[in-house]
Formats: sequence, C-alpha cells, structure tokens
Amino acid sequence: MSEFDEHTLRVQQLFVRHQGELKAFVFALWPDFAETEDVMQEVFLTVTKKASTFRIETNFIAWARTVARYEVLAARRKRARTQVKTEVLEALEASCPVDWAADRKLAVLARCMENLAPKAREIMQLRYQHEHGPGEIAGILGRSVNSIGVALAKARIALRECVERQLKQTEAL
Amino acid sequence: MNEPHWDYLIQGHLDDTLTESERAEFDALVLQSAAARRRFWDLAEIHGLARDAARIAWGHADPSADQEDELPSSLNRPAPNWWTRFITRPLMPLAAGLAIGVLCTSMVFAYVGPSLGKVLTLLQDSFESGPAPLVTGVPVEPGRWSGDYSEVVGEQQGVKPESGQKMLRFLRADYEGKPDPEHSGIADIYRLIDVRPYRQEFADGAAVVQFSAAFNAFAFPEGEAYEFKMWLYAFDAQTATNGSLRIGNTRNERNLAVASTGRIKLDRNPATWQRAAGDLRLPADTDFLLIHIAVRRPPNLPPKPTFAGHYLDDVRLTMRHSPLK
Repeated sequence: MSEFDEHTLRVQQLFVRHQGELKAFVFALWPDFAETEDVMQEVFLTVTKKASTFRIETNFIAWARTVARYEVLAARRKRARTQVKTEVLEALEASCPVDWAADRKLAVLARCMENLAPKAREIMQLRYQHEHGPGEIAGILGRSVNSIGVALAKARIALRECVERQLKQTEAL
Repeated sequence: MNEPHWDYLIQGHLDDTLTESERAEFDALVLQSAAARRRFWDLAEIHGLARDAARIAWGHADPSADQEDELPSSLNRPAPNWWTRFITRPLMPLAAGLAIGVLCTSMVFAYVGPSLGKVLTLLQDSFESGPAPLVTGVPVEPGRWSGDYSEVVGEQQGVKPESGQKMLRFLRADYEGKPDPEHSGIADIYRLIDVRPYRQEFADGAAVVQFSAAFNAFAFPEGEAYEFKMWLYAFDAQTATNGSLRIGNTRNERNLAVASTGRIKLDRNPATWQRAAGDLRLPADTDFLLIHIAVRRPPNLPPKPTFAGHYLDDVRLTMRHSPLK
C-alpha cells in the first residue's frame, strides 16, 4: 500500500466518483462493450500512474477524458481495427459538454426505458441489456441489419426526448 | 440544425455499422462542424448511459452466468450497495481496495513487480483424471468443474491435448435448467477452490495468485471468430457456497477481488495452443477462489448456442508471496 501517496488516493477516489461518466465517454468514442471495459482498466491504471500531474483543484473529468481519449486511441491501434483519426477524437473530446452523462440523467433514462413501447423495448434490451450488436440482433429477430439500425436510432432519439422532457419537469418543480 | 444524414452517420458510428466511406464522411463531419459535434454528444449520451440504465430498468441480461467482459461492480453504477460501501470507507483503505482488490489485473502488477519466494500450487488440471464436469452452472462446492455443457475428450478434430491425453471440450452455451437459454452465446466453465487451508500464506495481504490456461479450437471456417477469456474471483465462504453466485450480478457485486485475462482471439490452427494468464492479489479475508473460463463468438457476430470444437487444457493456479513495494 505504501506506493500510493495521499494525493494518488484522492485522484483514485475521483476516478471512482466519475467512472460512470468516463465509461459512457469511452463507449461513445468506441462503441464496443468489451473494449470499453478493457479501456476503462487502462484509464484507471494511467490515472493512477499520472496522478501526480493532476492538480486536485482543477477539473478531474476533463483531465480524465483526455486520458481516456488517449487510451481509446492506443487500444484501437493495438487491436488493428478500423483506424480512428487522432484529430477526430480530439475534436470530439474538446466539444464534450461539462455535465455530459451525469449521474442524474442515468436514473431518468432508466425510467424512460421502462416506458418504451414493446418493440422498441425489445430492441433496446437486445442491444444494451444483452449487449448484442446490430448484426446479432438482426439474426435473432430475423430482420435486416439496416432495419435494426433504424429502429435503434429511433429508440435512442425517443429516449433522448423523454429524458429532456423529464429533466425539464424536474427543474420546473 | 440537425440533418437526417448527420444522424445516420452518428448513429452508424454508435452501432459500429459504418462502411469505410461512411466512416470518412463521419470523420470529416466531426472535424468541420461544431453543430454536428454537439449533435454527436446529444445522441451519444443516451447510447453511453444505456447499458447502465438498461440494468437499472430491466436487470442483468443473464441472471445465472455469462457475465463476461465486465469490470467489477465498483465500476458499474447499478451496484448501489457496493458503491455506498466503497465511498464511505476511509480514504486509505478505499483506494487500496480499488487498486489492489478491484482492478488488480496483470497490468497493476507491472508497477508492483514480482518478488521471488515460495510458490504454492493451488490447482494444476489437465483433465487427466477426476470426475466429469457438472452441467449445473456455477458450482457451490469446491474441487469440481461445473458450468455449461462440456465433456472431457482425447485428441479430436486435429487438436491434441496440450498436456497429457485429455482436454475439456466446450459443447454448449447453456446448462441443465438454464433460464432463457435462447439468448446465450457464451459457454462457461467454473471451479471453486478452497484456500482457507493456506490462509497463513496470505493473511498479511501479500500473496499473489497467478492463473493461466491453454485454449485451442478446430480449424473453424474462415469468417468465423471465437474468443476465450478467464477470470479469477475471491469470495468469502458464505458468498461462495450459499448459491448466491448463481443469481443476478452477485459475482460482480460480492467479490472481494477480481482479475481477468485479456480476450484471447483464437487462431484457426488446431496445432497451436494459446495461453492466457493473469494475477490476483489475494485479500486477506478470502475463503474461496472462483475460476471462470468462457468462450464465445465476438459481439459483432450472431451468437451460437453450440460449439463445434473448442478446447481448454492445463489450467494452473499458483500462489506466491509478493509484498507491495
């Protein structure tokens, strides 16, 4: 335990506090369930290793997103999959809103998911609960990959609207 | 300011369905348009949160097994009990728990560094003897393999055992009485190991368990793909033996520590065995270790409930004293 100083421990604590937002960030940049988990482990290790360079009074999530962006890039290069441009990830990271994927939105989204229409619910369950890709879902439901993509897109937009509506209602109270 | 084609490209990115030319178009859009980047984060927010939200709304996909590729519960938001316990602990034990007990992959030990010393073999199994694996899911008793349908076989389909004359063959992605088997595409096998007899070896929290196994497959058709992964969990006796590990996300929520190997993508050469390995620093209050080994098709391919020739051999667990520096 002695290799961790108090500052490092505080940085790790911040990681734990923000890990949900960071995981969502990684999953947005690299939409692969398994790779996201692997990248998150690397992010934790890098955050620990570089903790001394982080000033505790500054913005942890912004700093950690930069770490995450580098780890996504490194992992994608290592896996030799579809190459992603450094500048694209940089542009996306720089434009990510401060409170993006904040915890309060998670509970609202879960409520919205519960109220999805049956067909949209089935497809969202297969995508995010069973963690299938569109190709797998197409195989399971006997539909084309394109139609699954369209259905997923519609469901996500409907959920986005539902979350916004509910957050506005909450703020109005 | 949103255009349908933007949404098409962004949603295609989120579902990893873009063609090469569409990917180039997506990249150019992101680089050139601030409005498109804002739209990206609007749409990606739902996608980014959806897995955790789905678990809150509907629970874990597979209540009995197949919890592959997960970080431990401390890194999953729908685990409020663990989370609360974690953040309310004093600072020093908290981070120690995080660094040692939660994310102690082999990467962590790259920092810590091994020390030489007495090595204790906890398990070395080449499936040469012993009872046939049970097909009843996660075991509740130590000393026997259990999980999805599997069998011990000799050389077959051009695959020779890596060690000795026998090896384990994965057969199916379900076990006897498994609920909802049609959504299963992962074949799992488990084994519990009682480490209480060795407690004096790790009571100071300075022991590391190294785990490894060898994997192979028949010459499956081109275009097919399979991957193996291996986890090692530490549990207290009650959690390990009361059957709760067969329920929901308990394995991730109730472990004292967990480590996993990377995913091993199998080659199509039956002559070569591929080995996965990892390390777990053993918490002093560990009573049992649970080995979990799984094979599946990668997520971008439709899952298959049966496995035509996927093999496991030479599973090893050793413990050595390795104090943190």
